[in-house]
Amino acid sequence: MTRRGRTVLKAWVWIGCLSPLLALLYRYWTNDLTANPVSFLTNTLGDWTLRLLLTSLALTPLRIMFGIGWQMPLRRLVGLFAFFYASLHFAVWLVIDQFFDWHAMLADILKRPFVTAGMCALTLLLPLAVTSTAGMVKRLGARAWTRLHRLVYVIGILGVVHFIWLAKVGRVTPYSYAGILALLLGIRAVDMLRRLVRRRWNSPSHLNGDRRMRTSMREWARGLVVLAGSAFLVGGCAHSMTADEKMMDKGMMSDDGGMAKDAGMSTDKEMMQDKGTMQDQGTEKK
Amino acid sequence: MPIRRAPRLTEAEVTDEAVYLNRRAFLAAAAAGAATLALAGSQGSAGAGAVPSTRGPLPALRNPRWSTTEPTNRLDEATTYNNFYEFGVDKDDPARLGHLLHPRPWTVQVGGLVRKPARFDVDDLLKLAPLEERIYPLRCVEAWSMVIPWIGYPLSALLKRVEPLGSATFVAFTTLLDPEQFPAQKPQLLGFAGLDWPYAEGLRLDEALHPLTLLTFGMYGQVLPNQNGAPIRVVIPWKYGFKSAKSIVRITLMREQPKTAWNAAAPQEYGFYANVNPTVDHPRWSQATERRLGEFRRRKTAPFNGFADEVAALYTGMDLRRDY
Repeated sequence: MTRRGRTVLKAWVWIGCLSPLLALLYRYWTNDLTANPVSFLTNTLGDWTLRLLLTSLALTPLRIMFGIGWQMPLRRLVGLFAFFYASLHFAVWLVIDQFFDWHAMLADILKRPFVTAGMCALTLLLPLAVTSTAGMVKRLGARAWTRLHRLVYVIGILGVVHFIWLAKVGRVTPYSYAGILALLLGIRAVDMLRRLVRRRWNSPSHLNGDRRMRTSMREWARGLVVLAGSAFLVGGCAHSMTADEKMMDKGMMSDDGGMAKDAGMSTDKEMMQDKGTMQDQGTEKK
Repeated sequence: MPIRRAPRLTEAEVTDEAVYLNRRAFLAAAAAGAATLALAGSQGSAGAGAVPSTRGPLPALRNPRWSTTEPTNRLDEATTYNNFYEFGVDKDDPARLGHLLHPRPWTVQVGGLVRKPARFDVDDLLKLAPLEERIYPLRCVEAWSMVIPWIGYPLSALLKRVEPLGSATFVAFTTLLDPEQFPAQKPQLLGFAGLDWPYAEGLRLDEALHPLTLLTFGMYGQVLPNQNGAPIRVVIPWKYGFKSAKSIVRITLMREQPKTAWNAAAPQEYGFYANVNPTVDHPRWSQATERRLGEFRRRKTAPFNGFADEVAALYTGMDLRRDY
């Protein structure tokens, strides 16, 4: 991609990532933040944090699955916007909702598992945001930097768990987010294992002595952990959803994760059609 | 960021609104009250074109004995921010989809352990006892609240009419089951059942007979909007909002404690009694404070939602930490 193309692309990402905030500001000016503005702001900002986090996690799987690479330089920008919305989400809770009631907030962090998960996710995002500059990559060294930034997988899981734990009975969206996350992590895990297998059988690495072997073992273990984590997430979703697995496909395919809400309005017939097309897409991809 | 406009209405504004609405109720009562009621009554079973019975003014005199003096919320707050899962889980679903509900013709079956079970037309129920306006704070289990001027009469008036048997100790309320009118009741919505339909709530008989327990037909001087539980609901102001069943089609007196919807869905989170209690937290959030819609700062939650003097005696000897 040309330099000019990259600039244009980044400009569009800026516009896209800022538009939810602009929409909120517009609703504020037009006095349209619902009857409970605090709750609406918190929920909307949290929602966009997760959407952007999942988007940033979706860029690598795009390369793995389809071999396209132009989106890779956008990971940092989208990730930073996720951090930006997470900070706003936290700021609304801190300033407007709790109004610096440190005592109540600390009690919530310690006592409410969903607050604990959310706080952990935000705390872990902090070092990633701080080390996001090119200078920091150099200072830390690429290996250490990459290892540190694998924290984003943990953050993704914490974020989705935060949403699942706070949501009320009958709400679908958190589980569709969990499904998307499981898919994105699962693709990575499968890819990692596949590469390991290929390297192991195609290269004479086993002749190179102990050190290589140990590394390889560690990578295997890492791959297995990611895979187990994904399986756990998927299993958890399936368990929570009792009956219908197609819903997860639906969630995974959705662009913005907000489909669940739209689907809530549609009639049964439309839903059936929806499911049909979703399945078709699924088979095409395979 | 939203601070500048967050307290969108000052207290003075709110009071003005309440006074305004009250005046309108009085005017309506003076001018057309009796006529409207008679009209509503006669058109109930006829069904089609019964406009005055499904919307429009519902005259009633305020009963200050059982009303809070707090300023009421705006009508649009009470009609656009609702939990009514039959329409969907989002707060704006009821306002968006409320038009699907047809509150006329409507009958309510009152039976079970009573001497005179009966099926009432809702328009006959409207005339069973004099309507009063009661201003109650509504405290949601989700830790927000609003103050609403309801119109109705004590549920006890209806219960006494059917003459409960001595063996009756509980009252169960059943909400309409009709996926055509309540879209979220459609089978297997994405496989997420959530609540079991029809929505069921219940009270102990002494709670149901308490003068605060209001059989409700209207609010803000008007017939109940669909999203607020038209055409007939109960309001139990000292309990979390989910206890106040909406769009009721059946009232059953029984010996055993009835199964209730939220309690069945998540028993550790929603108790049968569900009295507003700042000292017993919801497992996932504190109940010590609440956000009154329209206010900037959280406020402290009052025991029994401010009605401790009236209702605390109902629970003497009970451990309200266990029977939450």
